[in-house]
Amino acid sequence: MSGTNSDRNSLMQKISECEFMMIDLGLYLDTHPDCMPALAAYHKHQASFEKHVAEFERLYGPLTMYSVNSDNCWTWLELPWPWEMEAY
Amino acid sequence: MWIYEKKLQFPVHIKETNPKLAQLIISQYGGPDGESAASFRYLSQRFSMKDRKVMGVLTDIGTEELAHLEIIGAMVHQLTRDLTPEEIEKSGFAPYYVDHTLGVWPQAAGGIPFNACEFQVKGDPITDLTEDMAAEQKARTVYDNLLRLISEPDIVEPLRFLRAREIVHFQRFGEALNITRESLDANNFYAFNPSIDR
Repeated sequence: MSGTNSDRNSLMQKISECEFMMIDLGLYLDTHPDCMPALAAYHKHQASFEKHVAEFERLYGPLTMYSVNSDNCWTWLELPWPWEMEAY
Repeated sequence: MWIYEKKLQFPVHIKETNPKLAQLIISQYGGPDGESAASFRYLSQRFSMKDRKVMGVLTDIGTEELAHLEIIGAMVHQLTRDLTPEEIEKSGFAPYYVDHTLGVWPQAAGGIPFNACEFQVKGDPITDLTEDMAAEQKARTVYDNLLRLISEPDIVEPLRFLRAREIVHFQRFGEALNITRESLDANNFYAFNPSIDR
């Protein structure tokens, strides 16, 4: 673990922003699958999302059980759960 | 936050429709010990737990139960797909069909609609985890009851998988209860509720 809580929170904010753009654009693309500008925007946010998630998980720990990659301990339980007061 | 994966946790490919069996299996969709009751029970209980491991068990099992709900829904759908009016009438499926056509709606085998009372959240870790162990056994009993009535291999296999998961979850909840007890007074586990008393 490294970085302060405010670094962690600002990285999480970036993840949430990209993720929300993907959710909202994805929903639009469900009913407009041939809209190329929306598809391009989706890919732009997808690339940022993947970059920020990789950075967050490298610094602070896994966001999903499937991204646990530590060899010597089960890191899934280390970060606070999102309803805890110390969560991001 | 959740992410949907476009796959079933265990494959469902039922060749022959069978609306009679669909009416029984639907109990694990919307019955008192079904997968929707399980998922929302565990995901709701998480908030008042005190131990991060126990929160993890409830999160991960609650999530897996949603995948089980989808397996049951797929089974009910495949057992009732493309039914003709004659088949609907002959199989006793007509009362369900009148209200829901061939849609999948949460009800018990006896036709009782899903009831949110099944969620069972007491805000006391020992109470809630004991509830969860019983819930897994009740769901296992329902799968045993179904398996006694069903021999078609393509229906039996997913039911056997789901039955086995109930046993694994029972074990994990037992461990979560032990973890909870470790932080309490071994001479009187019930001296106070760690989620509200100081």
